[in-house]
Amino acid sequence: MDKTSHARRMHPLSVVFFIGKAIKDLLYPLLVFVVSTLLRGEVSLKWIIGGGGGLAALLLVVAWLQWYRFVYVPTTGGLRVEQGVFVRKKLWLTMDRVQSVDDSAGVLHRLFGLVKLQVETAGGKKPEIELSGITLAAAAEIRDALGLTASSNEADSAPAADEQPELDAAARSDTDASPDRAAASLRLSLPQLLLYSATSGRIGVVLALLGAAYSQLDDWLEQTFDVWDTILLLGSAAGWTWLGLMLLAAAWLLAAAGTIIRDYGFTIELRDERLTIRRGLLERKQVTVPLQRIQAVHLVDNLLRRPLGLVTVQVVTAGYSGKEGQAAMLFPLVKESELARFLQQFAPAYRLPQQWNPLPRRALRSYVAVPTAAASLAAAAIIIWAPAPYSWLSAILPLLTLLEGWMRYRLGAWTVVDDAQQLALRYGSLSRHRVLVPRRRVQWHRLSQTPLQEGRSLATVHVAVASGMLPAVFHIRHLGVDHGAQVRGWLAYRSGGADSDGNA
Amino acid sequence: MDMDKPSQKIDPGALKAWRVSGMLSAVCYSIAVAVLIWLTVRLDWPIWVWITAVLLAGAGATLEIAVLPAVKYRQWRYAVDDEQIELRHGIIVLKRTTIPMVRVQHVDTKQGPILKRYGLATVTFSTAAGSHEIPALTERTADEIRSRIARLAILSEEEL
Repeated sequence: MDKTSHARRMHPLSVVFFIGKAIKDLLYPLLVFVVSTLLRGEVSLKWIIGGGGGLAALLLVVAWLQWYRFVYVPTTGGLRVEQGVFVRKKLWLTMDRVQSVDDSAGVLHRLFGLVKLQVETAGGKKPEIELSGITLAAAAEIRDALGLTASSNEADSAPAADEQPELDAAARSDTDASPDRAAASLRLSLPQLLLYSATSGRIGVVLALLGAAYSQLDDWLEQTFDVWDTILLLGSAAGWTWLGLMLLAAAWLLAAAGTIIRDYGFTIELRDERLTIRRGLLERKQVTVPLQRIQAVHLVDNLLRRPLGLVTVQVVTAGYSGKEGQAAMLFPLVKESELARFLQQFAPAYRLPQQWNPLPRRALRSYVAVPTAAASLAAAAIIIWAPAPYSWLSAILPLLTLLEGWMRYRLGAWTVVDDAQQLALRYGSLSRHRVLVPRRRVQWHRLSQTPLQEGRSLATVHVAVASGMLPAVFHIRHLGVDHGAQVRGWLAYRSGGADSDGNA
Repeated sequence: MDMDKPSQKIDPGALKAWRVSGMLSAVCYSIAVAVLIWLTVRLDWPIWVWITAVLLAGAGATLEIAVLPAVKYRQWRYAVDDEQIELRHGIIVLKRTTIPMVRVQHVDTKQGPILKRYGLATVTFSTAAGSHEIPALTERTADEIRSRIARLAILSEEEL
């Protein structure tokens, strides 16, 4: 890469992205202004055209200036960026400090064959550098400069792969076509995607959104026509049930559609110790996570997927892509029976435990007693204070709590995978969570005991790993104290060894 | 919780320092209560308003001056060796926290005006997943621990 490093500008289309950003930033003041003028009723066509035109012209000029004044220079082993219309901001990045280089492409990007590139270091501020629209070749050049050549030849093949309809059932294919050690890649097949979307628990989110939207629209609806009258016209209990069911179905469809758009064509690829994840229907997103940065593997299977033996694989990483303290999804859906193989392929340092140490029998009381008592009290209060016929429904509250506590007790477990130097924790009630934490990733650990736990000689184990700005703390409640001490002893660094002896 | 407690207690001076800070908050409570009583008289508020306020303030003050410092002092134990830092603390929930030395990113000591008055300081160690502290050590011990951990942490540097 000896091409002399002279300053470059982004693709001229970036002006559009700058305009978009400016509008986004100005949205609220603009809205306030528009609404207030409308309410004052002094709107004349002249004002609208003049004001709108003036604003548009201003935005265009400012965005163009921003684009013109934004210059980047890929140098050998680094990247320099200068930006700012009046206040010049200069930024140098060297390749050894770069944490990740991610690109994404929206609809507009894809039409023009562009990508948005985000470069990040370990520091706290979100993306250090964001190039809002550059050509694929320019992106490859930057990757070259930052010494990430391996994924650079991937960058131009990524959209090509998009065109190829490789949605057939053969999801699993080891790419040995590429010369440099491409370890493995896996693509979510269409049936899998549909299954994944159908079983995603995001219906709750959609319902909440609908509720919020309704509460916002309520006033307006009341003025136009009386919804409740129309609903009451439907009258009968059957009508109500149908309405409820239809609403649920609609929410479910919406949630599924959202998931499909977000995770369409989910692809994971391991190459040169880096995982590259691509996904998205309208906007292609790409995330690169170095294997080195993975702090823990988190396996989740929710209530709907557990009977089907399907697991979502997530990882906790120490900061990536501006998503602090959030787990990154490694792959949406993996069959339980293929899980071990999947981990071996894409997260070779992690191993599924063969067997688990369950919680002691006395822990059941700790899981069940207090919550059920609280729920009973609440139910009693409802039965006493609420009107008669429906209030009795609340009697199932303690039962549900009891069931939930029992499920928590059944799922709570821990184990140590000695040959992989890993602690494995299992917890959850409706969803089952399994967390694999290598010993050398544990930032701190803690054994805690409430007075109640002390009486039953139980304890809670906490294990913290790094994850961006926030710590990710996993815990198992109501372990036997003896087991707790065992975990603590195993985690304790004795004789300086992360490698050798497991017990202290 | 069972077994070997970490050996070191924090400085007894902490008791005094915490009590003084408790008294300071008691002063704040009294001012708030006084204002409330004055308002009650002026505005004819019901009598229970200031009675509850007085009770709450009283309870808070006794807790902060008499109870909490003593319990906290009794519970706090720590130990620093070459491999790890151990903390044992907690008023109702007893916590035993272990921080492997290799995970410590930096150590610092800090000192508010009250702690300074008693020649005490708090040592904080940060890891990549949050920080922990030992409250109220004598300035000398705090500095000793800080430099010791700093030295050990450098020795055992590892990638994150």
